[in-house]
Order: sequence, then structure tokens, then C-alpha cells
Amino acid sequence: MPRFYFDIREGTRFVPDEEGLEFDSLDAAEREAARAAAEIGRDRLPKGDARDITVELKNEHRQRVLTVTITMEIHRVDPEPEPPRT
Amino acid sequence: MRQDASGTSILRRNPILNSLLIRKLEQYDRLPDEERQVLERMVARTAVVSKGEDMVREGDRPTESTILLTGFAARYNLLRDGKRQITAIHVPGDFVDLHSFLTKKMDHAVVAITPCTTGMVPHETIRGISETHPHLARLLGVSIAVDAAAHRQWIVAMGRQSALEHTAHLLCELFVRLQSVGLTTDHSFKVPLTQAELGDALGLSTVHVNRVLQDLRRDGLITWRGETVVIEDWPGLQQLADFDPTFLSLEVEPR
Repeated sequence: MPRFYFDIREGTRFVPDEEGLEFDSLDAAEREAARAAAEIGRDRLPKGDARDITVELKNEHRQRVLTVTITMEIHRVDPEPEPPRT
Repeated sequence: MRQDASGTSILRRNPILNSLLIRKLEQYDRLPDEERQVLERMVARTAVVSKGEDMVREGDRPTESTILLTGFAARYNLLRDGKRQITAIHVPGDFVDLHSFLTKKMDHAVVAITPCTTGMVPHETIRGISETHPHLARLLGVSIAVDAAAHRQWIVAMGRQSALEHTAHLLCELFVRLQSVGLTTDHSFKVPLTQAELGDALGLSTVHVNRVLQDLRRDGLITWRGETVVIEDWPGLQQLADFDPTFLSLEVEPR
């Protein structure tokens, strides 16, 4: 089974995967990358210490084969001033 | 699973194995000699279970309950799509399915995480204890209640803690439980679980587990080499995990 590496970027922080994991297909590795990105995003994004999480999937030669990015965007909007009462 | 050809002789050769349950129940209350002797006699036979094999299957109606004598085991449920959730990790001295004496049909399975030796206690024997040794029966009841308390802790951690806090909580729990049966050396203990198995216990992907373990190491809380975990900063790990060992009921008091 081919080995894949899952490097993680959280904002400016980079966490390389030294060991890698075996999956029987790229599709299976992609599902794992997507699941990991969603889980890490759920923990980290609401804290505000990063606004996006990227999992970079690399093949056994450490070549990048896909990336998954989870982004949180928060938009504050100024409400319209209330109309004057008549 | 195969029956140990030597029957219960493994227990005669290694009395320490049988004493783990005694040691565990002694955490809850004092055990008179007579109750100890009952515990020493209650294993009718032993078995050897290979790594990855179920020692109890979902849907079974066991007529005996299983004590783990050596090795690690896990309670788990499988979902229809093949995903697995581990709901408890068992260490030597634990009954993995004492509740089957009362609930009859298994609503989950128990798998050997490592090669295991198990001791089988007939439900008839447990029924006899409940009739002739009510104090001992109550202590076995404490063991079932503590299993339920641990499940509550897991729900709280799974529902409300970050992956980092939750993983720290599981390590704190394993450390205290292994320490209580004498299976730790200082702050070092064996955790023979793969990252995939940890993920099944924590409800996390393997990649996320790997990421969390790297953070625990980076923050100087643990080191993890092979199967050996060393807690480098016990107060720090407990604080991160919000760990309170009350749920383990490790207080000797009249019960």
C-alpha cells in the first residue's frame, strides 16, 4: 500500500508529518486529509489563533498531490441606523 | 480464542495475575481474607486471545464474565459503514464484561489490542457470591459503577474538550488506572495502542491524533517512544486535561 504524508499548516505554523500513513488509494488518503482538516479547524479556528488550516497531502516521494484548506471568515457589519421615530 | 491447555495453572504459576483484581477491589474498600480467597478461586479457566481477536462478541449471551489477566483490550461498537468507536480501554485486572452477568446480551464487543490472557468467571459463581458474600458483591458493583463513570468522563471529553485536552485526559486516566494496579514505573507506562486505535478511542482521525501527540511532546508534557509513555509534567498534563480522578473511586471506605 502506498504511503502518504500529511503536513499541516495552521496560519504561520507548519507541522510536518515525519512518519506518514499507508492508504490503499489516493481517494482514501484524500478522505483522511479532509477529515483531519475539518477536525483541526473545529478546534483551532474558533480560538482565532489561525484563520485557515491546510493539510498538504504528499506521496511517498514527498511530492505534493493535493491540499485541503479550511477557512473561517467572520464579517462584522455595521447595522443600518434605526430610522427616526415619527 | 483458545482454551489454555493448562486450565487455570497459569494462575498457580503466576499468582500475581489473580491478585490484580484483588488489588483493584482493595482500592475501594478493605477485603477480609475470606473474600480474598473467594476471589482467588473464582476463575474457572483461562484462555489466550490473539491480538485483534474478539474476546467477547456483540450479540453474545455470555454465561461467564472475563477478567483481563495480561494485555490490553478495548470495548467497541462498529457502525454500519465500518467505522469503529472504542468506548473503553481495559488493562490487566479489569473485568471487561462484568455487566453481562446482569444485562445478559452484549451490546458491544471486546477486542484484544495486544495478545491477552483472560480468566473466565462463570455467572453462576458471581450469582453465588451475590448470595453468600454481599460485601464482595457490592465491591464488584463498584467496579461496574466505575466503568459507567468512565463512560461519562469520555462523553464529557468527547463533547466539550479540544482534541488536545481530550487526549491528555485519556493519558491521565490510563496512567492513574495502571498505577492503581502497580503497572507503572515512576511516571512511565506502556500504552500499546497505535495512533489509529487511539483515534478510534478519541473519535479523531489518525492524522489529527499524530498532530496532537506532537503538541503534547512539544509542550514538554509527555514523551512517547514505541509503546512507552513517560509523563514529563504530571501537574501540567492534569491541568490541560482538567483531570479529576474522583470518577475512579480510588478511596478506601466502607461500601
